Amino acid sequence: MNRRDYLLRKFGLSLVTIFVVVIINFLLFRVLPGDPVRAVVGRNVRISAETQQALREQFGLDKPVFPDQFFDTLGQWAQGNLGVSWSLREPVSDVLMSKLWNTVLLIGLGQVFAIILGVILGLLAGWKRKTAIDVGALTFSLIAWAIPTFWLGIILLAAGSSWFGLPTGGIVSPMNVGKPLYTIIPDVARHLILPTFTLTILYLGEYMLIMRSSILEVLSEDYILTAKAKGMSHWQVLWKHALKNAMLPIVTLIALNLGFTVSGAIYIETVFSYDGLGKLFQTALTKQDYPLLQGAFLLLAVSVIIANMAADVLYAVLDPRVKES
Amino acid sequence: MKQKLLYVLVLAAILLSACGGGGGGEGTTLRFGWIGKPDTLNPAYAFLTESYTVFDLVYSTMVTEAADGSYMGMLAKDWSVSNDGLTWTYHLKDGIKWHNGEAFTADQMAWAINAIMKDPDGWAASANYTGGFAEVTAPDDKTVVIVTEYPIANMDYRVSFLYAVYPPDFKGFTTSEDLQNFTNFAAIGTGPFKINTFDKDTGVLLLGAFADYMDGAPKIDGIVFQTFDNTDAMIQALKVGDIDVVNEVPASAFETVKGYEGVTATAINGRYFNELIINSADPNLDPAPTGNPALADPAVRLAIAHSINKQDIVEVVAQGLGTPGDSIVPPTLGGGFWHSPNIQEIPFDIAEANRVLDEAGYALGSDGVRAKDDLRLEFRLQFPSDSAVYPRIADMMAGWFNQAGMKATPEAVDPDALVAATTPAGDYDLVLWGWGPDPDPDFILSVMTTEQFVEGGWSDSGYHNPDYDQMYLDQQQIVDKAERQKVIWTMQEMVFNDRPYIVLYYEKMLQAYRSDRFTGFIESPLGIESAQSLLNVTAVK
Amino acid sequence: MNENWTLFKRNLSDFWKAFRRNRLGLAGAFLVITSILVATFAPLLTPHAPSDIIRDEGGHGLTFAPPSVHGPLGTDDAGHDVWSQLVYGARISLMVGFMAGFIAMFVGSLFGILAGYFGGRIDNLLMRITDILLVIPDLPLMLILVATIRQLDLKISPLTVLIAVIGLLYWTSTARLIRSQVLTIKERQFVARARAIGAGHGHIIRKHILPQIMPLIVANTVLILSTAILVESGLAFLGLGDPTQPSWGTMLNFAFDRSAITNGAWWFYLPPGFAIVWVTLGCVLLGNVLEEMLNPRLTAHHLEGDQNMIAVPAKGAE
Repeated sequence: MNRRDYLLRKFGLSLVTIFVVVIINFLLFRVLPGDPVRAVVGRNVRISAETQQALREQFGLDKPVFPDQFFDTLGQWAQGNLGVSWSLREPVSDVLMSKLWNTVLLIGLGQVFAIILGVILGLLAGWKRKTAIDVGALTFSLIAWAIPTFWLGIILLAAGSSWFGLPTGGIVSPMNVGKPLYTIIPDVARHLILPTFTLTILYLGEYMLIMRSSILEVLSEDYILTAKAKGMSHWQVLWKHALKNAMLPIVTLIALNLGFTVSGAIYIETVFSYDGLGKLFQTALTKQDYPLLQGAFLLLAVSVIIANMAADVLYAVLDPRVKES
Repeated sequence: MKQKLLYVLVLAAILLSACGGGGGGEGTTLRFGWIGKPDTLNPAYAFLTESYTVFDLVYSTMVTEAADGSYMGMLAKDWSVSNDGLTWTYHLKDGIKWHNGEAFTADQMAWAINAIMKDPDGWAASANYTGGFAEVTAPDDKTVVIVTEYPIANMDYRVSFLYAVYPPDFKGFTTSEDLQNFTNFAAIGTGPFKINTFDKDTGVLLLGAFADYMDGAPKIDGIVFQTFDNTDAMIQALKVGDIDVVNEVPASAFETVKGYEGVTATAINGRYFNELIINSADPNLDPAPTGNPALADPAVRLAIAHSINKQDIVEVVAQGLGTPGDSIVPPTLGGGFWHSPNIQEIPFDIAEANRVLDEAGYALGSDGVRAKDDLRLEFRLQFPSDSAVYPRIADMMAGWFNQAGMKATPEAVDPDALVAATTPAGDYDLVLWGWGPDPDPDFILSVMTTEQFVEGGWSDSGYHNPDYDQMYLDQQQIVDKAERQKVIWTMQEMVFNDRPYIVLYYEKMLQAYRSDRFTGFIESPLGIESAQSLLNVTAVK
Repeated sequence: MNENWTLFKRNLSDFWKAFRRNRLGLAGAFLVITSILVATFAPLLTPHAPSDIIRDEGGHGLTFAPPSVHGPLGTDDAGHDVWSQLVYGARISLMVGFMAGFIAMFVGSLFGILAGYFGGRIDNLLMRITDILLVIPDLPLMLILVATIRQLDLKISPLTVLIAVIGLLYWTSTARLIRSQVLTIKERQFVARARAIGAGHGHIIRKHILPQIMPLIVANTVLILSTAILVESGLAFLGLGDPTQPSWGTMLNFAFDRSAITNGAWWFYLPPGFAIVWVTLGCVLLGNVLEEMLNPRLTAHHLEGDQNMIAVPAKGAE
C-alpha cells in the first residue's frame, strides 16, 4: 500500500468515526424517558407547570423524537449550531468556547512539563542503565500508571493546600477575576501548580519510557562507535542520536495521547474545580443538560479523532517505513 | 543537560515564588462568597435563588418579610385591607429615590404590577404572585390600591415579591420572549445597594451603598459577590481572610469552620426539610400506580414511622445540624405561626413497630420479611442520585426497617428519572427527597393536593384527600390570619396522620462570616445576607 | 485427551518452576491474592458491617473520628468504620473489575480468533470496529453510556451497568493481540494438516488454536483486570457507582463530596486509593510477567535485551 492510499484510508476511517459519534450522540440522549425540563428546573417553586411547558416547547421537546427531533438536531449540527444549554440558557458553542482555552492551557502546560521531564529522566535512566536511577525511574512510571488520576489529585490538593497554602480550586482567585491579565499572572500560576503537577506526573512515565528505549537502541548500534571515532563525546552522541530517534514516537504520542488526556482533564478539572471542558462535561452530566453534554462530547470526540488523523499523517510523512508496509 | 535541569528549576521557582498572592481588605467593602451566580437580574424571568438574593438588596417591595417571619412595610409605611378583603391600600413613604436620583412615585409601582398582569408569559417568574388581582391603580403620588377578584389570604407574602422595577427599563418590549431575554445587568432600583458592575461570565458582582436609601444609607461601602467553584475553595478563602461571608457552609465542614480564628459560624433553623415519601397514589388511576399495595395499610405506615430514628439521622447524617421534623410546614414559617403545635410525634420504637405489624396480621416469614396473604413488606427505597446525604439516610433506614421485619432496598436514581417515576406515574414505593423554602405555607400545602398529581405538577406522593383539597382552596381566601392558621393546622395534622410524607428533619442554615472584620449581622431564616441584615452590618474598627 | 492439552499441563508445571524465581511476578501475585483473600474473608477481618454506625458511650454517632478515637482507620462522614468499608469495598471493586475484565477478555478473544482465523471480510469488519472504538475518547463515551443506560429504567443495578459498559469497551486491545497470534498459528503445519484431513473450523479452533493462545489470553486478562478496576474506581468517583454498595471509588466520591479534605480526614481519603493501587499494581506486575513468560514473541524480544523491564500498558480512561 502506498502512502496516498494509506492516508486516504485513515481519512475515510476518521469520517466514519465522526459519523458514529454523531449517531451515538443523538440516539443516547433522546431515548431517555425522563423529563429534561424537570431536571433543569429541579424542585424550584417559582416555575409553574405552564412555564415548564413553555420551556419544553422552547427546547423542541414537545415534538416526537423521530423523525422531527432527529432531523432538526442533525440539520442544526450540520450548520454548526449546537443548540442552547438548558441549564445555562446560553448557546452551547459560546459556553464551549469560553471553557476550551482553559483546558488547552492546562493540558498544554502538563504535556510540556511531562515531555521535558520525561526526556531528561528517560535519558538519565537509559544512560545509567540498571543503576538505582534506572530502577527508580521505572518503578515511578509503573506506580504512576497504577494510581487513579483523581486520587493523585486529591492527595496533591490536600497536601498542597494545607502545607503550601495553595488554592483549592479554580483558575484565579475570585477577587482577581476580570482584572488585566498581567497583574494576575502570579495568581493564575498559583492555581495552576497543583493540577499541572498532577497531569505532569501522569504523563511523564510514557515519555520517559520512550526516551529510555530510544537511548538503549542507540547504545546498541554500531554508529555510536563511528561517532566516537569521529571524536564526539559519549554524551554528545547520546544527545544527538537518541533525541532524534525518540522524536517521532514522542510527537505521535502527543497526538495519540489526546484521548487519554481528555479523560485526565475530566478527573483533574473535577477535583480542582478547574473551569474547563472536563468540569463542564461532568456538570452537564449531573444536571442532565443534554445539549451541553452533546456539544461537549462532540467537541471532545472530534478533536481526538482529528488529532489521531494528524498523528497518522505525521507518521506517514516522517516515517519511511510506512511506505513499505 | 545541567542547563536543562536548571531551566526547569528556574521555572519551578517562578511558579513557587508566585505563592503569596491574594488580596487584602479594601475599605469597608464586604466580600461575599457563594457557589452559584445569578443567571439574570431580570425579575420577570429569574429562577435561581442567587438572583433573588440580589433583588432583595437592589430592589424594594411595598411589603417585606421581617426577621421574625412577620411582614413589615418597606416602600409602604402602612397598609390596610377593606372589610370585604378585596381592596388593599398601601401608603408609601416619603422621599424615596431611584438609584439614578429620580423620585419614586406610586404610579411607577402600579405600572410594575400591571406589567406582570398584562404579560404573565413574559413575567413567568412573578405571574403566580398576581393571580386573582383585578386592578392596580395609583390614586395619588403616595398611594397604591390593589383590588382583587376574591379575598387573597397571603397578600403580604405575594406583595413581598412584587419588585418596584424601573419602568423605562421594562417598557420597550413587544414580545414576551424579548422580555425574557432581557438580562437587566444594570438594574436600577430603590434598594439599599445599587449595582456598580456585573460580569456574567465570571459572576463578579459589585454593589455600592446607596446613600439616599429611604431608611438611611448602609454602614458599609459596598459588597462584592464572588463565585467559587467548590465549597472547599470558598471555605479556604474565608479561613485566610480573602472573603468575609460564606452563605452556605456544608454540614460536613461546619465544625471545622467553627474552629477558625476570627470566624463566626452560625446555624439557624431554616426552612429546608427532608422527607420520606410513601406512595399514596390512587390505585384506580390509569395507568395504575405500581407501589406496593401494603403501603395503603395505615398500620404499615405507622410501623414505618415507628422504625425511623429521626434524632439519629440528624446526629449522624446532618452532623447534628438540624432538628427532627414532624410537619410539612416547618416551624420557621411566619416565625412559627403556621406550624401546628398539635402534632404528637411518633416515637422511634422498633418493638412497637413489630407489635403494630403483628396485630395487623403481618407474620414474620422465614426470610425475615413480614407478609400477609400476598402482601409482602418489601419496598424499593429510592432517592435522587445528586446528593450524598440520601444514601446515608437510606442505609440507616433499611437497617431499622429490617429489625421490624420490613425489607427496603435502597437505590439511587437520577433526579429527572425519579420525577418521571413519581409524578404522575406512581411507579415507586418509598422515596427520600427534600423541599426548599418558601416563606408562606401555601406552596408546600399545594404539594399535597390531588390536582398537583399530574404531568408537571408538584405532588409526588399522590396523596388524594377531597377534604384536604377543599381546605387548601379555603385557606387561600381566608384573610383573617388566626382563622387561616386553624385551617392550616388541621391540614398539617391530616398529612401527618395519613403519612403521604414522613418529614425526617429540618435542616439548619449554615453560614459563616469574619467577625474580626464585620459585625451586626442579623441571624434569621432570611439569612445573614438579607437586606435587613446587611443594612445593620458595620466594619470592626 | 488431546495431546495439546497434555502439553499445556506439562507446560504449566514448567511454568511454575520458572515463575517461582521471578521476584516481580511473585510480588504481583502476592498483591492480587491478598486482595482476593481480603474480599473473600471480609466478615472475618472486621467486627463491623460496612453500614454499622460507630457510636460513643452516649449512643451518639461518631462522624469523622480519627484512628486514635476509633481504630484502625477511624470513621467516615456518616460514622461508618472506614476499615470495614475498605474490606467490604474490596468485594465490590474486585467483583466489578473481574466481571468487566472477563467480559472484555471473552469478547476480545472471540473477535480476535474469528478475525484472525477466518480473515477476509470478517477480519476487516472487526478490525474497523476496533479502530473506531480505539479513537473515540473512552471516558466521555463511558460516562454518557452509563448515565443514559441508568436513565432507561431497565431495572438493572448500577453495578451491572458499570460492568457491561467497561467490559464492552475494553476488548479492543485483546482482540488485536489474539488476532495477530492466531494469524501466525494458522500458518503452522499442524493446523494445515488438520485442515487437510478434513477437520471442521470448530474442531481446529478448539483443539489446535485455543490451547496455543490460552496462555496469552490468561496473561492479557490479568492486565485487563488492572484497567477495569482503575476505570471502575474513576466512574464511581464521578458518581456513577452504586452508593448503596460502595466500592473504593464510591468511598472516594463520598470523601470528596463530604468535605473530608477540609476536615483533614486523611484516614478517609487515603486508604481506598492505596487499595486501588495495591490491586492494579499487582495485576500489572503479574500480567506483565505472565505475558513475558507465556508469549513466545515477547520472550524472543526479551532475549534481545531488556529494553522494557516492564511493559506498561497504554493508559486507559482511568
